Amino acid sequence: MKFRHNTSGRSAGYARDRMKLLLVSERIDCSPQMMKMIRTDLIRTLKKYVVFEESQVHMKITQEPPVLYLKVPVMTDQKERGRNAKTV
Amino acid sequence: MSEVIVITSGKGGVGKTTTAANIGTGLAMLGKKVAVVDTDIGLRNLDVVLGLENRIVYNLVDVINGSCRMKQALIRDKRHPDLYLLPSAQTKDKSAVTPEQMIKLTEQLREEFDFVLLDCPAGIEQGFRNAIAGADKALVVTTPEVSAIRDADRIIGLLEANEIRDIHLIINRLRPDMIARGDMMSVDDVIEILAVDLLGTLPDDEQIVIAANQGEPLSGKGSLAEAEYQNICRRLLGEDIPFPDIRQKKGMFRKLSGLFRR
Repeated sequence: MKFRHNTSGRSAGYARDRMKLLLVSERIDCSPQMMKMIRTDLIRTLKKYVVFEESQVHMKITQEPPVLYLKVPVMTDQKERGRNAKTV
Repeated sequence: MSEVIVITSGKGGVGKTTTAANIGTGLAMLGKKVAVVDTDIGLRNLDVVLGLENRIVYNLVDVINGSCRMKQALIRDKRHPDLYLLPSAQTKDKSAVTPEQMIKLTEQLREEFDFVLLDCPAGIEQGFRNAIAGADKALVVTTPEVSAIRDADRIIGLLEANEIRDIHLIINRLRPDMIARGDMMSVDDVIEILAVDLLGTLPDDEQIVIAANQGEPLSGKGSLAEAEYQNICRRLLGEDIPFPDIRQKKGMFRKLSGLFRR
């Protein structure tokens, strides 16, 4: 019962995230799967040079004009994690 | 200066015809001379929503073929003398008309009317291409559901590809209760996803069904949807009318849920 209650009540946010991803990918003709692959490849490349938390990496593609943004908060020391954001 | 506005959505059943009928009526009540054109050849519906189905003699295809004059096909509304309907043909199909012919038709209507509202068929095929051919401006109707939003995005892309850049969004069938508990996308969510200007937000209102049953667009019954259709008409005339409660509630809710998620 509790689980059911939790899933309803969050469906709008889930729908919003799905739509954002889907529509951007349709507009630039690049599937969500392909976008995931781009993200993975970029992370792998960046890992060779800087230290960062993978879960903090945020990738987005704007529609007008179509631009790919990748936000990688780079860690300088353990306590500052997440604060020192660097956009690539 | 007259304006030709197409009302479109991609997906069927989101409220294009109701919107065309109500905006047409609203603009006529504000003293504008309005023609509403049903461009859905083969599946006409605007006539029944307006309650004018028994008065049809000629239709859009007859005008285009030259079987009658424009004046003969236009039906004057029962209640609003400044509102006219150009009905669609029921027996022909969408290939009976070309985009070039539609441009000619809208140019002709432009001379007589302040506003020409084109009720577009669902889909993205020839009927859609005909409907948008002569339009200066597009009103995209959507609901806060994933299927309607995806189709609306596709339509916006096609409108832009056809050089229609004046695009405004109407979000229909909003349910504040569902939005408040996080089970329906809010106005802000939809705008963020589709990235177009908002023209109106309409609640899911049973008065819409009742009004269509009776063959009269909302007028004087004091429902929420009716008030918002009036706001939409005023915004179309350039007035700066704030958006109603539905949106504010959602704004507050989003801020709260935003705090929650961080």
